[in-house]
Amino acid sequence: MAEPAEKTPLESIPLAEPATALPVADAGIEAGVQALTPRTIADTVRRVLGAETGARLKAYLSTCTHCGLCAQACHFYLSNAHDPSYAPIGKIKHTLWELLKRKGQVSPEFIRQASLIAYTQCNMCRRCAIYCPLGIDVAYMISVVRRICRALGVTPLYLQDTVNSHSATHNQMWVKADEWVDTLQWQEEDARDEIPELRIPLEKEGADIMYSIIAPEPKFQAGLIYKAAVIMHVAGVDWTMPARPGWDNSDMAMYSGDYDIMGRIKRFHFDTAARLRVKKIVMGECGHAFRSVYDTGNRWLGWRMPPIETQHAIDFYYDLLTSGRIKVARKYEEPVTLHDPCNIVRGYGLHEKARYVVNALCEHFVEMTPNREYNYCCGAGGGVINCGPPYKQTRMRGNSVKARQLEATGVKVLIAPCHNCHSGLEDISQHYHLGLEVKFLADIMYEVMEK
Amino acid sequence: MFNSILFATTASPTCDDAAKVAFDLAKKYNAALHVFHVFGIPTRGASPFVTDVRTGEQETLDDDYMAWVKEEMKSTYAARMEGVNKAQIDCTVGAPATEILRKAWKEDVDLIVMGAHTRQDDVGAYRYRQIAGSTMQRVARGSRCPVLIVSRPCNTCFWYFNNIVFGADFTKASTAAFKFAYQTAKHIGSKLYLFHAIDLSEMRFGQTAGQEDIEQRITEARRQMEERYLSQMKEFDNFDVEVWEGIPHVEILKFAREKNADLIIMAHHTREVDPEKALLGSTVEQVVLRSACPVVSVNRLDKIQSGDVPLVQASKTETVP
Repeated sequence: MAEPAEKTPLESIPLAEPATALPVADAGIEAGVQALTPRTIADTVRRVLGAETGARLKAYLSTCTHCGLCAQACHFYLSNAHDPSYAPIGKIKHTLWELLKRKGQVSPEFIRQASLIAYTQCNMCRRCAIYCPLGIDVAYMISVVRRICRALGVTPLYLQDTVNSHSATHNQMWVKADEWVDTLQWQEEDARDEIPELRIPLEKEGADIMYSIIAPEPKFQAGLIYKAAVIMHVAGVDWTMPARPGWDNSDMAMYSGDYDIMGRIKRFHFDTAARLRVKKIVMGECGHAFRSVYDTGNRWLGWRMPPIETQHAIDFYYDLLTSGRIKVARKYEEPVTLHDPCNIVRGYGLHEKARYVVNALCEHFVEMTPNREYNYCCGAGGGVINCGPPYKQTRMRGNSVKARQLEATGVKVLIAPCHNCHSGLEDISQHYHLGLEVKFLADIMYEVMEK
Repeated sequence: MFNSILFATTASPTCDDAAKVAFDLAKKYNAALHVFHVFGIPTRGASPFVTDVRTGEQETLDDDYMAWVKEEMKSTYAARMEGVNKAQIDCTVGAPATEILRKAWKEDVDLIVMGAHTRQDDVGAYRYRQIAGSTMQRVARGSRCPVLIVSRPCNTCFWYFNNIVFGADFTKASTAAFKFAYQTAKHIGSKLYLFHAIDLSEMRFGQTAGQEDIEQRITEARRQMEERYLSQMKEFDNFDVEVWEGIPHVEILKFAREKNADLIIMAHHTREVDPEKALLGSTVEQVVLRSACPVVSVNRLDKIQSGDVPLVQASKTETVP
């Protein structure tokens, strides 16, 4: 698709584009489909539905009245000419319902389509659950489809690569064990240039807090570790980071449907905290990792709630600011707006705390509309951005509604306290020529705090 | 003067000008040279593929491909490699700026050499700083050692430099830049121009600087020059001080042209929060894009050998008391 040559004014960002299927070549999906036989499909569908689903799925399926109210919630639907096949219920109809109705007697081609829908046309953001009068969690049903596709080996290649990395290295980005420690040492040395007595304490048993992050930080954004270390140091927190694997809290296996790997890496993460005998885990600004730690991963392992207290960065910053451990020297002056990440807002209710933090750090906060639990998804979450370049256009076309929402704020600095959102929103800003500067809360806190 | 140099290259002709300087420097100072290339990846996440820099095609990233690229780099730089005793070719995958900084930290290098442009068609173009050489900017901001940026053919080699211009802005980073400039000039035996431009672009709408005001600021700047820099120089008198007024990057370029400068040395600010203090921060980027000669960006002291300590290689060949 040709990109617009110059900046697109607000009116010309199409709210609805014609719904044409984008041709995609995905070696992972192709290879998986090639290996399918009707028998393996039927067996696998039966096995997954029989062994791993129960009352929850039954309740959702039997209560849905096909009212279609969920359609208005979905950014894919809103951005794709209100094409009903993009409505949440439409996606279920083209995947799970068919599988049930035909008792798994479907063609490999059907599985290919189901895989594309489940992995790349739904961010599992759960906005539709807010709109459903019966509270049906469509994202859960999509995750069942993904689980089936994964069990059949039909997964997008890029997503599978990150899962392979999780499995082999216990982190998402193939970060080697020595690279991890090197990165921490590197950032510590850099930070000591600014604060000579600063340390990044490694393997400190009995510390109050274990700070865990996602692998893209050491790999691409090492500066965030620096900033976190400065915040911890200034706040006088007794903290530590693991020197051995277990430091990565991210979880793409949750999104690919590889629940065995999901369980393994979550347990490893909790085990690491237990090994260090910390009081709680504080996680960096990442949304999906939080979903995995307090909702999906822990429950797969049989813990209703995380076995060790786990706090998201927003919550942690809120504590630091309200208790006066971090003081603001001079508020950030440029107007800012805030993107509510689905996993920690719809999923966990951190929106008011996020607003407290933003207002404490920034002079001018402009709300985007809709906001809080009604915010539109960034389009990157749910593992969709991790499905890689083949699907970038799907993401961009599928989220013009987000571009409009962002542009309407008239603000140039956008705070996104989630890594996935961060990347997704940068793509949107670039694609729709919005010229936004996307920041983490830590970026701003580091800039304005008393040091 | 340099023990270990990191030459960050796109392994394409766009970096040839920088390559010449990097290899020449390594030869001259018998320094270890790390020739380093970072594969860009076509996604934000990890990727099983990389984009080949020459063909633009997607390649599967594996050990074979890595070895092949290293071999290609070796043959590309074979001619230049002659006379360089400790050269090491390496490549990795990741975000280029992060990987270059990581490598610099790991190998404890004391100079990074790189080109300013990533694409050949950018050469000579007056691009804005968001576009041009974003890797260069990120590296220059984050680096602990001086970064030598070569964006045009540099015909005088490093040790032939005759006129070095140091663009001063009186910050901590600028002190580091001064130290490097002073030592380089002293070591090479070239003339050092200490230059400061009073920034008039900051004048508010409706307010113009009166002559008296400007002169006052020039006097103040000269006093600062004296206090911060001139007092540091010992047994070195081959220098000149100039203070002009205008838009800093324009003035520096004008000054450099007038003095036939072949090297500009400036501070680049990493984490100065107060924008008023970091006057030259973005100026470096503007200068790099337009300068006819190489530019060195310095922002920290810790990799610059201190004071009048004999410079490493120099002690063998030159008379240092």
